[in-house]
Amino acid sequence: MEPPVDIDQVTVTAQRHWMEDGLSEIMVGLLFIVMGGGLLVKLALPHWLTLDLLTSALTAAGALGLSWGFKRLKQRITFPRSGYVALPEPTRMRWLFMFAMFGAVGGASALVLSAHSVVVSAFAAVFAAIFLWSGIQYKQASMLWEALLTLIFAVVLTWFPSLSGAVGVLALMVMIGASMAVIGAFRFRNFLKANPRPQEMQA
Amino acid sequence: MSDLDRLIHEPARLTIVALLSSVKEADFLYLLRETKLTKGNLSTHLIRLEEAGYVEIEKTFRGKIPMTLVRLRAEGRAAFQSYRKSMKDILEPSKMRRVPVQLPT
Repeated sequence: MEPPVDIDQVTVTAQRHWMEDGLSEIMVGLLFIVMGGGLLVKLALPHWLTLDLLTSALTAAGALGLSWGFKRLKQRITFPRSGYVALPEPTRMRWLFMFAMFGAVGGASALVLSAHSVVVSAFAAVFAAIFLWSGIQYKQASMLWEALLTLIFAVVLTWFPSLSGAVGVLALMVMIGASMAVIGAFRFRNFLKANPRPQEMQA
Repeated sequence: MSDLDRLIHEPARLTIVALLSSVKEADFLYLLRETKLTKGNLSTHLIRLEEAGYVEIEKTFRGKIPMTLVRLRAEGRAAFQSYRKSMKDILEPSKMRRVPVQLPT
């Protein structure tokens, strides 16, 4: 005897639905560009405290602005076309786990960046693995393309000796961000074509 | 089999409850798209689930547009988890039934 519907498949529908318009990819892509680009600018500029603070503030403002814009676009464009869905609030344990993860990743990144001996390919492998896992988990073909593109970018970066170490990692971040934003934009266009704004919104 | 919640076991209602189990709340349009039911059918199933105390339906507005929000209540979540457990219990013994058969010599 089998359940009448595939429950496991149905329960991941909400996460897939959240990503189907491509806006998440555009947002994360732009976030990568802002953060990676901001840090690249910071490395290129003279190390004055005021400039450091200014670039950090601009990067943070950019990230917050993107987050606000993402919510507005979801409300104005996605929800009227494909329906509104709110994902569950993270539990206290999940928040703790997320903070611990951010702390660990941030600490490790700061350590590696300060050491100036970063292996770009290692970062590329981690990013590619995350994309691969997300693509399989949520059945998103675009994520598999992102994984492939990340590895290609890492190979391309090896041809430019000036883009090694911390600069290389940040350049990789910007390249991944750009590819995500472009792929997301294509998906967003397809979403708009497939889901015209309905005249009658509700039953 | 007798332990199964018949209200949830019906495919359309099981899909609705499974969809709602993974979200905080969803609107009618989202459920309509994902379940591929007609508006009338979806309404009927939602009313049955609401009568059983499994879901909570809230009629509201997004600007000037009417919006029907649906949430799974704690009773509905418990019933869904119990249904999943019952299904697992039914399915697992059938896997264990694979005993080697002795062929006649």
